[in-house]
Amino acid sequence: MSTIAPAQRQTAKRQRSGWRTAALLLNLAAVAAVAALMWASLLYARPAANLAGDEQTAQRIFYLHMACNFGALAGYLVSLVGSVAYLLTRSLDWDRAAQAGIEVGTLCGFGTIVTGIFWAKPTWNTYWTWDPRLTTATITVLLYIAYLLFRNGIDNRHTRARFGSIYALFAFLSLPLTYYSARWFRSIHPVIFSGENPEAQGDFAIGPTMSQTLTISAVAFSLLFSALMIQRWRQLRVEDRIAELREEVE
Amino acid sequence: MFYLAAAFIAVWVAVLAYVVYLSNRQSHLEDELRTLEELLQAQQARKS
Repeated sequence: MSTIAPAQRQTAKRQRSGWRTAALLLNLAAVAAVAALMWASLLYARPAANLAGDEQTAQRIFYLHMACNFGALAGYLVSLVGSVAYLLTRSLDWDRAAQAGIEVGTLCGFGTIVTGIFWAKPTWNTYWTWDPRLTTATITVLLYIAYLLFRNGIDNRHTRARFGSIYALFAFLSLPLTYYSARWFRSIHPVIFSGENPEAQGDFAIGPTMSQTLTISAVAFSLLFSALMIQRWRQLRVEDRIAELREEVE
Repeated sequence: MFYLAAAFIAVWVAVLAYVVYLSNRQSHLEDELRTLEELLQAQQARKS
């Protein structure tokens, strides 16, 4: 026993050191990718030819708006996978992944709404309108904020995880509704992927530099999302372990 | 230009605020771990 314990400690130490190196590399990659996103969106991408003045300048918000959108989608997809996996396996690691995904996804969802607000003013001449896309996107973010608030009110760890998983499954239904809202209902919000909206205002054609910048923004926010989510997931793990140890000690 | 700057600043301030929150939480967890270690050591000392 006395020879195994130091060996186990060594292995744990090596694992921790490996985690730290991987996390550091991921963080550095995220910072570099974000710098590339700023350069590409502000300098590299060509301005939209059919727009002018403030509307043309504000069109560059599109890259950050879409990047936040990718981050939010990634977060909510992680929450869906984590919730299903928790309900199947009852492993709390999956619940922690779902919670971390929702926290970072909601941060990105907030970014999507805020960038949309500042893009709407020069394009639609108003900061906010009850357009189907804007309304459904806001409802989605509010649903996930409610998830974070409600689950904190439950003490039992597994009851909290079960409630959170079932809630997250239902909350995810708002995502396809948000995606199709500009296609199914009368909306002035432009449609970028698979289809177009003839009633859209502020629409523009995506040229090669725009499409490259969009790719950079997707990669940048995927890295940023991963870095933040993994950090939060590890913190939630330590929080649970501390709570367990505290119960043992007391 | 105002709208572009406002949108970028708003997003990066929100991301920065979340990073600061994570960092504070990390320090708090490290403090809690240290306290627990001391408690465990005290318990072991009492037993021996």
